[in-house]
This record gives sequence, structure tokens and C-alpha cells, in this order.
Amino acid sequence: MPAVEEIQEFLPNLDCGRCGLTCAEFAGFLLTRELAPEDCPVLHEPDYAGFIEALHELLGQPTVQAAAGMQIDLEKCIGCGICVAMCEFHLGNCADARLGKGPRPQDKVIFHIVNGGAVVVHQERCTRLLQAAEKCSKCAEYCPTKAIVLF
Amino acid sequence: MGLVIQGGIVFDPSSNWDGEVRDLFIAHGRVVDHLTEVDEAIDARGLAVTPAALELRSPVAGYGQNFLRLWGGLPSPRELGESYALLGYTHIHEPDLTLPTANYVHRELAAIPLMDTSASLTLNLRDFDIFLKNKENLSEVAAAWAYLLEHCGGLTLRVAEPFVRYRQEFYQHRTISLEAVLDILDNILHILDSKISLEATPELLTAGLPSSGRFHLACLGPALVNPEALEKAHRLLAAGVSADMGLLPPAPRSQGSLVPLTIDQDRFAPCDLHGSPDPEAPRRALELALHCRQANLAFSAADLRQTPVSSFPQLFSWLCDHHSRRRFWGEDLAPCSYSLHDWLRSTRSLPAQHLGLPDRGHLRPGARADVSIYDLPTLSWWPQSFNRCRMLLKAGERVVDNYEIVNHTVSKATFYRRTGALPNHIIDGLYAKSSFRPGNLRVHPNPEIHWQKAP
Amino acid sequence: MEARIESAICPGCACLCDDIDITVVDDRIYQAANICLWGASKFLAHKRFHPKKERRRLQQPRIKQGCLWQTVPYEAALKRTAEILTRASRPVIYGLTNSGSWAQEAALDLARSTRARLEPADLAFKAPYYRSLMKHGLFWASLDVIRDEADTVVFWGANPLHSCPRHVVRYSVFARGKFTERGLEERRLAAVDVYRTELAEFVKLFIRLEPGQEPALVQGLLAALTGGKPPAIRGLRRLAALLEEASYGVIFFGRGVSYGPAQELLDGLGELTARLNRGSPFIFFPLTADFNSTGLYHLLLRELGSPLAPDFGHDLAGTGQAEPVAWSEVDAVVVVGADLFWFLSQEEIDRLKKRQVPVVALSPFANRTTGHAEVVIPVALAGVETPEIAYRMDGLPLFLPKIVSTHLWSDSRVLRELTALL
Repeated sequence: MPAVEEIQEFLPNLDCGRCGLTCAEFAGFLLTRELAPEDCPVLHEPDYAGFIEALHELLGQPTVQAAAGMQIDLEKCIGCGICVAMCEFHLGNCADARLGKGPRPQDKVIFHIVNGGAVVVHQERCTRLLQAAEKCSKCAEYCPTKAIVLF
Repeated sequence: MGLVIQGGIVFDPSSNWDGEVRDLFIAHGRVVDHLTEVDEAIDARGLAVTPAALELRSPVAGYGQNFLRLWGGLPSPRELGESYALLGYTHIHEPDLTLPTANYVHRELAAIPLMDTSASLTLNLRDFDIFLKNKENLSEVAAAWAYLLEHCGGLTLRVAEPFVRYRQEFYQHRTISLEAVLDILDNILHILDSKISLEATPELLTAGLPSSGRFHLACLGPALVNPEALEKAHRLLAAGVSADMGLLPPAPRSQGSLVPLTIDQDRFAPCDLHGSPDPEAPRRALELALHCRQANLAFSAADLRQTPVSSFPQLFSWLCDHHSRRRFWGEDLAPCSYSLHDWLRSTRSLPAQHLGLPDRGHLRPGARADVSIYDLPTLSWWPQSFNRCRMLLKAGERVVDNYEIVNHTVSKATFYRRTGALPNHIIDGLYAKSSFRPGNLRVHPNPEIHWQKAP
Repeated sequence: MEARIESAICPGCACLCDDIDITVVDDRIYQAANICLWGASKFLAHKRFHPKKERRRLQQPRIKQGCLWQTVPYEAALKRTAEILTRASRPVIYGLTNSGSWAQEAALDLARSTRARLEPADLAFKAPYYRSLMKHGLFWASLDVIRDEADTVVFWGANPLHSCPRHVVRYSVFARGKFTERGLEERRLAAVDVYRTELAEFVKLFIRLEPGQEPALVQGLLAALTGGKPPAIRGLRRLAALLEEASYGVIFFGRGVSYGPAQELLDGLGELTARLNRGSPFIFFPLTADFNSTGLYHLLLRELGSPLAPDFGHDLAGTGQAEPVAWSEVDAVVVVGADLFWFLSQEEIDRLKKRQVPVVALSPFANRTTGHAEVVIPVALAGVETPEIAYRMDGLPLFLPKIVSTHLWSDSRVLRELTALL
């Protein structure tokens, strides 16, 4: 199960915005299978030959998404968004999440709910990653379906 | 298309027409000076021709009012619309609309046929408390209110609790006293160049009102809990304060009204729709109305549960006919009764003024052709014959003819005040706290409602 | 072509979450942010709780000719339906809790003109509630007020995570409000149910009862609050203490209350709420699942004066029936915005089929009812493919605009044209 950084190694990391996203966001969507490596226009350029294949290899056939520090099992996730509301990073950075509303596309979040399941978009903001794994476990602690597993 | 109402005995207090026989010309839904050619003539000889009535306070669409129907406390929208029309009304005004309930209220109002509608934006001062405390913020608060008024499709402003209080201990520092609030409101209204309705309470009657003439005391009746309150109300009315009566009957409490019906709208006190007025308040309200009939006092009933539209003729008869009072109350209550002129003023001219609708409540050229026509066998007999409208025109269209509704689908509009104000940081803060995203609190995209800007 | 629609409203359940950010590509919803699985079942036609499995959309009206299905245009399906309704002496219009308000209004007109009975799909749940209201009073607040104020929340026979997954986040448990700034930490939670639900993951006091024990628990709570001696039920005393200490409470009850002696239980809960209100404010709130069930009861109450099932065949006064319809009398059924055959027992289904009661189903998706129906009329998805009005569970209406287009008719159009045909 690759982490976003691992995937980013095989992305241009130019944040050129031609796909409408930053490279980190694009990596997040690769993990959730909502985008495929081919969706990055830059990777089709000759300079990046072999990257698309490498990404396919890296992504493999997982049913579970992964990010450093937490796994979300989409088979179990019901998209209730408790994790989004309880996340400590969101508490300070996303007023909507504090009040129980869904974050807006431009909000600074670690993960949000897309198509009925939780999706990690900026795991690099997670306290578990920035500080230490034992610092926070709110998202998994309150998950009613135990869809989030921390490691 | 021209229409003339011929030979009617016209009563219009705001034009000082007190029973003059004159022709009334109507073209394109409005009263005009004269028409050389008319397509239709209505023979109104021997009939009383008056402007159609406007109901200043018709709490039929507020959040939760629908539940009153569980106990038979409110007729269906169709019955409501028809009852009003048969009494000669063309416009009803809902006093309680808030930002989150605006869509609800407008949808309920849209369901009432025949009647034009409007609503008061009820401001919850707790939403603005920290801004109200600082004088420098008041122009921003004013801008925010102006924005909300248009955004919620409201016509006038109203405050139900003119103070800031909290039940929670840790919010006590935000408290603002009633006196301070009145002062602050006066400043804001000065900036807005607008008026506001305050729900009458014994406390408010004691505090009195600033003399700026920007305050309207709504629904006096239930606030008259003791002789002192009556005395204070008397004094305020004598000083020229604008107000409405809030009449209510001394009805024995029915079975249904024994259970509580509380709706918490994030105010200091949750609202009990069944209410529990003081048993003597009805008599005091009527006494006050009779004594102050020359004052700036418009007709209104306290709540539709105890005074349904069908009981309006009875309320009118108490105001206008001392025999009727003696029969019901066992005494005269006051030496004088409302004359036809007084009554028309309190049900037509004053409500139109309070709502800020300059083309209503009178029949001068330019007015919208909302005309109610009644039988008038003899002038002294009018209180009986004005109980049912013989003919009602709404914008020149016949709604009631020969005492019956003839047009069930006459066009109706919801009047709102266009202020052109833009949202500011106070509004942003208000939206941020709501569970809705701002765009979804809009009322205007609803295609069911025909919006009309108040002139 | 790609378009982004922000703050769309989700017709997945009665939460009517209005923070859905949608990406539409070539007039198809490609991605929807902030939706739960129930939302995905509408926006993306996923099966509920089986993510990524498609619910089959119906594409064309069809009618049964003998044992064979025949695909027909809308007009022919409507004509057949009109014939069925004209022949019927005891027609029932069933469902409507998953239809927009305009469709509900059209259905009410149809019921009037065909002298039919209009049966809300969740009548068994709501009728005892309204009757209990009439006895003990109404204690109501909008979800915003509940979010801002409630420090004590009880879920009774309710599993919001299954009926309206984002409810706990948006309004009742996790959201921070004006006076509940610490959210979950500030609220004391309890749940009462006959089996362990996901709520137990964060609700500290979870009382698991034997089926049928609920009225005894309510009576026990009443006894405990008035100083009497309550029966020995595990958790009762702790729950009584929790209720008593509340500064602002709310009791959310769910469909679970209707599986036993519903009227007795809801009367008891209504009495309990009224009793608690002598101390501090307590709200008694039905946790409605279907996205516009609240709109339907509002409509019935407003137009007919009673929120119960109106029967235009038996009493035109419209006092409303609280008892579920006797299916043995019914001789034609029009199902709108619900899956009737999912709710009926196999025995009832067999009896309806044996008596050859014709069933007309209006539905966007294939479901059990459409499988058994004689006439199947596909309709556009309300609030996604056709604009509609829907009421959030606290009775606040929202306007749901159209997001993508469709060739299908809206259910309100089908019902209106049907009424016109009759």
C-alpha cells in the first residue's frame, strides 16, 4: 500500500494545475481510484516515460486505501463524516468541519468524504505523521464502523 | 380595459371621503382619475365602497403554526384565504419570519389563495449582541439588517425580544438591558431610515419608547396583564405611538389548549403557541381600543387560535356597537364606539401605513384597485352589514361577487422590501453559524412564489 | 464538458445535507464530495451499504400483457393506470415519503379525485407520534437550535447511522454549536435499543432491552423522576439521572419504536418529555429517514387538518386514519416514492397477488415493487434530475434544483397528467 509521498515520487510535482489539482491532491485521487495515472497530462510527455507504468505497478490492486498512519476500508466506510468532524487538524483549520458541515473544496483538510467514502487528500497534515503516531487517534476512535485502522 | 364603479357611497378616511357619492374609475388594476371610455360598469348605488382591508397581524405561516391544526386551531389555507376575502381583505401579513424559517414561511403564505402576503423579518438580537454593544458597529449592523430584510423576502422589521439575555451562565456578560436596546435600536433605525415593530410586553410598556416615531407596538392585548400596564399603554397611545390592538376574546380555554405547544426558535424564551393570556387582558384590550380610537391604533387580533378569522365580525361588533358589547360583556366598557370612519382607518389606512404600502388602504388615483363593497341599508346599520363583503375587487379583478368567491385563482403576490444592501462580515458570521450553506437559505429561486417589490 | 456545482442538496435522507459539492462531466455526476452512502444511492445510483454496486435505473414505462412485459410510451402507461383506477372501488396511493413536495401535492389531488386512500409509507411510525403529541403537547426546535443547545441526547429505537448517517455529525452529537462549543465532549449521550448498534461506539450509556420491554423502561423512568420505585432494568437509574441533570435535552426516536406496542411506547415517551420539561427544556423529535416524509405530514396537516392517512373513499371530511390500511380490502395500488413490497410480509404479498390486485409503480429504480407491478412508470430522480421542494426532518423546506438532465418524466408530472386523464 503506497503512501502519497511514494506516489508523488512518480508525479511531475510541478503543481502546474493542468489537471485542475495540485500534484499532492492528484496523488490522493490516484489512491482512491478516482483518477488514473493517465489523467495527468504532463506524464504523457517524453521526459516522464515509464512513470505511468511505474504508478500502475505501485498502485496495484488494493481494495484498501492507504496513507501513512491510517487505512480506510471503503467496504466498511458509510461516509458519515465523523472522522472529518473529529480530526484535530480540521478543528483548527476548517470552521465548517467544526460545526459538522462538510468542508468546501478549497478548505485545508486532511481527508474528506467523496462519493460516500472517506478519502485522504493531504495526509502530510496529519498529526500522527507530523508529530508522533500516539499523538492523535480521533478519527479511528469514533469511527462507528471501524473503517479506519491506524498503524 | 376600463372599469367604473358607479354611484357608490365612498368611504376612505385617508382621503377624507366620508360617504361621498362618487364614481371610481379603474384601469390596468389601478384607480385612475377619469376614463372617457369604460368596458364595464358596476352599479354601486346605495352600496358602501371602501378600500379593501389589510391584516396587519396574521400569524398563520410562522414556523410551527401548522401544528396548531392538530388541535383544530387553524383552518386550512384555502378556508383562510376565503374567509379573509369574504370579509373584504386582500392582504395578510405574517409577523414572524426568520433567516432559517424564511423559506418555510413563504411557502406557507404561498399556499393561502386569494390573499397578497408579506412578512416581518423577526430579528433575534442575540445574533448581533457583540456588535450592538459598540456604537461604531451600528452602521454595519444596519447594513446587515437591510441585507437580511431583502434576502429573506421580508417587508418590515420586527423584534420579539428587545433585550439580550441568556440562560447560560457563561454568556451573562453579553446581556443588554431593554432600555439600552431601545436606545441602540433607535440609532440603527435612524441609519436605516426605517421603522420597527416591537412585540408589546408589560416590561416594554413600563420602559416606554423613544420618541423618534420609529417604533410600532405590536399586539397590545396580551401585554395588558394589570391595570398599570393598561395605564402605561394608554399614555403611550396618547403620546402618538403607533400600535395595534391585539384583541382577544375571554374564551374559556378549550381542551386542546391545555397541552403545551412550544417551539424553540433560539430566543430567550421558547414560544408557546397556545399562550396563556391574563384572564382580564381581553377586557383591558377592548377598553384601550375603545378609548384610543382616535389614536394611531390599528386593528389586530392577538392570535388566530383564540380569534380565528371567523370571529372577526364579533371583534368588529365589540368595537363598533355598544349593544353588542353590552350583550357579551354585560357593560358598555366605554361611552363611545368606533364610527365607520374610525373602523376603516384602523383596518385600512393604518395597516397600509405600517406596512409601508403607499398604494393601499385608500382609493385616490394611483392606488391599486383593491376595493371592497358592502351593503348599506342605513348608515347606523353598518356594523351588521360590513360583516360580509358584497363584492371584492383585487387589482381590479373581481374576487367576491354577490357574497361569494367567484375567482379562486386570482393572482397573488408576496411583497418584500428591496434594500439593495450587500452582505458584510456580520452576515458572513451569521451564515457560518447556520447549519445551512448560505446559498441554500435563499428564498428567491422558489418558482411557486410571485415576488413583488414594495413600492 | 465539466461543471462544478457547490452546495447542492442531497435527497438521500431527511438530513437534506446542503453541502454537497458535485462535479458533473458531460451531464453525468462524476464525483460528489461530502455525501454519505445514502447520498451516493441517489447521486451515483449506488446500492445503499454496498458501495460501488449499481442500482438499476428504469428507463422506459412498461405494462404487463398477460405474463409478458411490454415497453410502452408514457401516455399508454398512464392510460392503463387510469383504467385501473377507474375500475377500482378501493384504490390506495401508497408511499410518497421519498417524493418531493410537488409530487406529494399532485398525489393528494389524485387521491381526492379518485376517492382513494393516501397511505404514507411510514404511517406506522408517525401516526402514534402525532397521537401522542395531541395528548401530551409538542416540544419542538429546529436542528440548528438542537445543535446549539442540547447537552443531553437520547436515541430511542433509532440508529441514525443507518437511517440518516450524517445526522450525528451535522446536528446531534459531534457538531459544535453556540452553547456546545466542545461538541461531543459537552454532550451526555444515551441510546436505547433492542440490539447493539453502531451508536455504542461513542454513546456511553447504551441500554439494550429485550423486545417489548420499552414501555416498562419509560414507566420506570417516570417513576424514578417522581420519586417512585422503578423496576429493575439495567441502566434505568443511570438514564434517569442523565435526563434529570440535563440543562437542555432531546429525545430522538426512530423507527424502532414502531416494531412493538408503538402507541403505548410513544404515549409514554410523550408523557416523559412533558414531565422533563417541567425542569429544563426537552425536545421530542422523530428521526425521520425518508427524505421528504416531513413534507408529506406537513402537507396533510396543512391541507386537511390531520397528519394521518386521509381516506377520500370513506370519509371526505379527512380526519385521517391512524391504523394501517387493511390490504384485504384494497383493489388497486399506486406506489410512489416507496418500495411497498419491501415493507409487506410475504403472506400479504401472496394475498395481493392471489386477488390479482393491480399495482402501478412509479420509481426511478428497479425494486421489489416494480418487479411485481402491472404498470411500471420510471420517473426522474427528485432533486437530482428534476427540481423539487423537500422538508428537512425539522420541517424546514429547501429548494432542490436540477443537477443533470433526463428524458424521464418527473413523478409530479406523471401524477398531474394522470389526474387530468381521470
